[in-house]
Amino acid sequence: MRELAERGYLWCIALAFVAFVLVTIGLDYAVLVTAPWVLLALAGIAAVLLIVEARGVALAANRFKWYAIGWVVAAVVAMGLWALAQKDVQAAWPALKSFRKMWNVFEPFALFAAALFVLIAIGILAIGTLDKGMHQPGRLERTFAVNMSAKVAAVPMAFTAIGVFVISTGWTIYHSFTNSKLLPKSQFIGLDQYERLWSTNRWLVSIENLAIYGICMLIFSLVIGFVLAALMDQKIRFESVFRTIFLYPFALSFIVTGLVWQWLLTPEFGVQKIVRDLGFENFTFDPLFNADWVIYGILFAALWQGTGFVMVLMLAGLRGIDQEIWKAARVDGIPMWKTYIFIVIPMMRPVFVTALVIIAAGIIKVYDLVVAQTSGGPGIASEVPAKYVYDLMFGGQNLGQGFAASTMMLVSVLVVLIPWAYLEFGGRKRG
Amino acid sequence: MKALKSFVSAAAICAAGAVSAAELEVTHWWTSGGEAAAVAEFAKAFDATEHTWVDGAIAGSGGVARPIIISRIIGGEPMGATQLNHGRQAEELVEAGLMLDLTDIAEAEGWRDIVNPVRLLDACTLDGRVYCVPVNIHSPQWLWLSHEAFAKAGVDVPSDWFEFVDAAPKLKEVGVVPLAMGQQAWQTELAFNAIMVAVGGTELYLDVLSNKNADTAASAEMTKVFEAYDAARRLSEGSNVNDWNQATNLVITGQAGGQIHGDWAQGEFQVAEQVAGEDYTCLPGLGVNEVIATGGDAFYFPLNDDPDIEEAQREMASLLISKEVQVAFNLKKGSLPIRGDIDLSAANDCMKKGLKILADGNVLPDSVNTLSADTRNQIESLMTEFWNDKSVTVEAVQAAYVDIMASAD
Repeated sequence: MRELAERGYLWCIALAFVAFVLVTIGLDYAVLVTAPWVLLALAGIAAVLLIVEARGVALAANRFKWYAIGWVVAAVVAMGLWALAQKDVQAAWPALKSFRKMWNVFEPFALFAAALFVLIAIGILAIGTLDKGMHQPGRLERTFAVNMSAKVAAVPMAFTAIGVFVISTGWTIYHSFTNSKLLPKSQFIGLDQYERLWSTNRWLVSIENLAIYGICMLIFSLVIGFVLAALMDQKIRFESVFRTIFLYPFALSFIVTGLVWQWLLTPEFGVQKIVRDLGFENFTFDPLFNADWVIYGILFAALWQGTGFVMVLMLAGLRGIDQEIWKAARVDGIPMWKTYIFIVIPMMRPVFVTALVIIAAGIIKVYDLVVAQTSGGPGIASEVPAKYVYDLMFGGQNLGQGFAASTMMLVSVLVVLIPWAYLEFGGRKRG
Repeated sequence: MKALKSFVSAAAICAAGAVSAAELEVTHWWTSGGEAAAVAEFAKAFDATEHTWVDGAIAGSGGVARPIIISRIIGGEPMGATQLNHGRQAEELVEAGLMLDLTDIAEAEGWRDIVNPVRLLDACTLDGRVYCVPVNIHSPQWLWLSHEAFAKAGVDVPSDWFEFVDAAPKLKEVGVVPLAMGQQAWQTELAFNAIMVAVGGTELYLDVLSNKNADTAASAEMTKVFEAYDAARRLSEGSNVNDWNQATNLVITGQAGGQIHGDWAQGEFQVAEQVAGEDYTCLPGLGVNEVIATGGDAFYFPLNDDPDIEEAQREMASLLISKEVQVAFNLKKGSLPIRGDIDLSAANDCMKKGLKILADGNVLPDSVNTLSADTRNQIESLMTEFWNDKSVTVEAVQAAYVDIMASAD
């Protein structure tokens, strides 16, 4: 009986939460809208059953009374937030009005949280009455009472993380199946946005560009970064000077990098003009105005900006290699390049994986560099997915299409992240 | 509680009663030389009232500025007033109730009688309520020609598009780029619509852009338009500029023969102290079909909590449409005024051509008014792709255009 009531109570709260998240995402079907409250009511019934089992609630002698008071305080705070969103309160206290948008956002969350916190308080009181000692900690006790302060402290962070990562992502994915234009709407139209996306030439060009840029960026920045780091590791003079020079471009934003390289690669002022002034009249070099080469012009700027950082990561990895290994290799007469390739690089796996993930994330989100350097031109030759998302969402006033494109970007990020997570975390478990 | 409430409402009434000076932030994308001079006229007139104009210019033309403006309005940080192109860009914002309703001012001042053509006011009206103030008429279908460039090549200044295409090889011989074109996508779309009305004629234009008739877009007449457009893109090789005013500057300095652009280019010629008919020629409808599309700019006033600001917004709305301000602004801007009842004897050659076409009633709707932002965005992408990628054929681009038109809204 008790086990059943506890289990039902926990399940109801968890399901209420899930339903609430779904409603927030935009799935406002009548069933889903009422579900959280029905489930919370069921949890309330389960809590009452627990109290019946305990034959009354011990208040003053309850060993969890401070926890319960804590949850009640949290509920009162949540109700306070809810009150701030009410028109009467705002009318009485005009200063609130300037933050009206914020209160309105909090309103449904606050109401839900208050109900939840009160229920938790009741549940805890019931469990505190049941177990006079700590002989058999039940499910509920393990969930809410063990290590309580850490759990309470984590509540704001958990809400933020769920709000940002789960609700926002879910919201975006959900609305990619709607025909939202300038403002989000909940009119479901199935896969139409995705069909249009994959038949749009500009999106296909964007994907192709991202593939070229991504593969080249990954290979070249790792290779150049490692070679630079290996050269730097030869106990050279003025190492810190070189390190600073190589790392310095990383201090520039992509916008500045893009503008600088735009000027350098523009025929009228840049490299072409300098070479022509030297006497080579027919020299042409205009990668940014040539549809076939423009993506490499962008790649070059990105490499200039980013390899320094990879080099520093690699250098840190190299410095972490024990000098004894080098000595042993030298004693065995292994040439230096072999030592690097067969001994040092395998030992630097964690550094490589970290660098890989950082570079890959940078590749998928590349946007500002393109905007500053070419703004997608000539024509649509240097478009990238992130720019497509922005242009469709804000320029084209077609949120649905932009969301569909950004969902595809999320999928590609997951394609990168899941193997990495598998390598990092799955691998350790086995090894 | 009750006492507190009544006190607060009494205070609110007092605040509303006393008209106090407000600072109104105005966002717009008028940043080129001629545009900045024109918008300064608005600021001057508004500063002459007890209110203050806080300039919020956003560089980079409509494509960059519009998303910033709209996301500020949606995000709950509305500015006092903002420029937008009237028509469908702000449709959803108005529907969502984010814009100030100006109907009472419009009725009191009789805007319906003074705005000419009245279509401009219709573009500001939704369900019988007026939500914006049109401030000027801009027509995109103009060909701007540099006398200096043609003198260099030793040919007469052409009088229409076809003569211009014929003269192009001579221009190339003396190292002049025949047609200047900025890299931004909307400029290529503008040129396409201009060529459509010149080569294809008014009916074709209306059927494609107003009725969104995909069959007409697939017709043989339309193929002619695409062929003319194909010829045009080959004339622009070597004009590696980005912004429209840089392209206009190529024409002003005689480095390019001509530019297909809207009449706002006029302001640039004016800032460069060039005289219409002597230093440059303008051909409405590319000299072939003398019509103009009545696009243009309008001011919207996002809804605001502060009664002082709302008061200032209403004052600005009626100021922008007043006679003196219209004259001062449009002379600097090079655009046509939205009132038919004002004296523009100070206007130059080009503006007079425009005024005459307007008086004759040869006006067309602009694609800004007839197509949704989404459809325009698709067309812009297509046009800029075609313009820059010479490997795309006329057939391919027409097929893609028909596809867009079939699903256009």
